Parts: sequence; C-alpha cells; structure tokens
Amino acid sequence: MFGTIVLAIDGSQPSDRAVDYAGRLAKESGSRIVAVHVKEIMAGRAAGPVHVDEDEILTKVRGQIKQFNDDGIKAELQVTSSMTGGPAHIIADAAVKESADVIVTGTRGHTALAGVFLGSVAQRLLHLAGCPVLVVPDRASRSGAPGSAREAAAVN
Amino acid sequence: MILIATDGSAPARAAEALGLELARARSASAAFVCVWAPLRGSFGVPLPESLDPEFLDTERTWAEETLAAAVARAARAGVEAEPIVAKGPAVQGICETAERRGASMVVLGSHGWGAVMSLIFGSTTLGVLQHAPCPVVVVRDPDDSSEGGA
Repeated sequence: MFGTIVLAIDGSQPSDRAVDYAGRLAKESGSRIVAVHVKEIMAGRAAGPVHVDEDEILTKVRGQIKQFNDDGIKAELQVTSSMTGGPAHIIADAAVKESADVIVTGTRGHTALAGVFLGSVAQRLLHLAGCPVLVVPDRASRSGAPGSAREAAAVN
Repeated sequence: MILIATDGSAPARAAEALGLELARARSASAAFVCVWAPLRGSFGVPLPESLDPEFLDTERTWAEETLAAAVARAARAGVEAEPIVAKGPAVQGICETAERRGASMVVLGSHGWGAVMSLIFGSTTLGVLQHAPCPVVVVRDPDDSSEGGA
C-alpha cells in the first residue's frame, strides 16, 4: 500500500506515537521508512525555555531507527538542520525526493507552544506536502493506537 | 473500519481513492460519511416548518445523493462501502461517527466546498484533526498545485 513512508521524528511524546504507528504501517505493508529529523537550532542546551537537548534527542531517535531495523523494517534516518528552511519544508522536500506515498507525523513536536493542539510544523506540512499526511492523534487513551483492541479489531 | 469523509469536492474524491485503496490493502471495511446541516434563513434563523418539506430537506437529499454516488464508485472499484449520513456541524458529524463506529482511520480531503477554500486550509479538516479518536489521513486534490509539490 505505502511503499515509502516519510516519518517526521523528533523524540517528543507525540512523535513517539507517530513512530509506533509508522512501524505498524510499515510491517503491515512492507514499507520502507525514511525518518527525517530536523535539528532545531534555537532549541539547544542554552536556549532557555525550550529545554531541548539535541544530543539526547539524536540518541533516542537513532535507537528508534535501530528498533525498526531489529523488527525487520527497512528504515533510515536523515538528520538536517533547520538553518536552510523551516522543518516542514525540509520534511516535505524529503518526501518528494524519496517519492514518499505518505508522511506520518504526530500532532506536535518539542518546540510547539503549550496548549496548541496542532503544532506549526504539522500545520505547515498539511499545506506543503504533495502526498497524503497521516496525523497520529495525541491522546493515547482515545486513539486507535497501535496494538489497541480497536485497531486490531478494525484491521482484522 | 476506514471512514472516508466526503462532500463530493475534488479533495474529497482524492481522499475517497486513497481510503478505498487502504481498505482493500488492509482487508478492512470501508464507510463513507457525509455531513449535512439544515438549511437556515437570514441571520441563521431556522426556516419555518411550514415551508415545503422537500425544500427543507435539500441538504439531506444532497448528502444522500453524494453518498450514493461514492458508494457506487467504490463498488466499481471492488470495495463494498457503507453510506453514513450524519447531521452537522461537519467536525462533530465526522468525529462522532468515527468514535461510534470504532473507525481505525479517518481519511478526508484537505479542504471542502467551504468559502475561500483555496485560501485557507479547511477548518473542517483542522477540527477533525483536533477531535478525531483515531489517526487521520489528509489528502490533497492532486490538481491543486497552490502550494504543494514542494
């Protein structure tokens, strides 16, 4: 179904849900995952209120890609800095380059403003992407999260 | 169950195609939901019941016809899809249907027939993203090149 999935990844909690979901989709249809992580230059260790540590994020994200590979999923990680443009542009460009069939993203990342339900990157992606965008919801309790009874029942 | 929201617009048709493909690939069932809202007169005042019921039911009839056309296209594509008519507002109609029917995924177009549709990203789409109980796939009209194809 989806030959290539581009996955927006940043180690945040909503991103983790997108990672789980993309993994399940990939297993289901034998897709290749291209995970794209955009380093937020402003969000370094000393940048104040955001508290994003790129080293920690990279370690976590690399672990998630390794987990995909261990699960038999073809997956690679592309790391870019957002110096060259907004994260949404970089992810949308990657989707074009990789001929992605779908972009999978969480609702928001590390740097989204508190209280915003859909982060600016996800919103921009909806505008920019040339392919379908799959948004994995935030609320694990309500969602058809991977492995939930609802999802399993609905898929079977 | 894959729930495909439709209003007959071009992006909705694109969503329809992807939704049916997904249903087939995952051996999931498919359903279409079309949301209608009662016609209102000036200043949003509900039209009097004394009016011709056929006239009052215009929107409902539109929804039923939109669904019937979508179901027929699905059948031609080899997918048996169920039509679901829901009463508006659109976001509520789509999300409540998804919740009630335990949809595993909602597929919808990036925008519908709403005013200034090409200027502003569909407010229905954003509302569904906020309230949907399951993952949502947003599909653009492939002919709409306003900003896409980055």
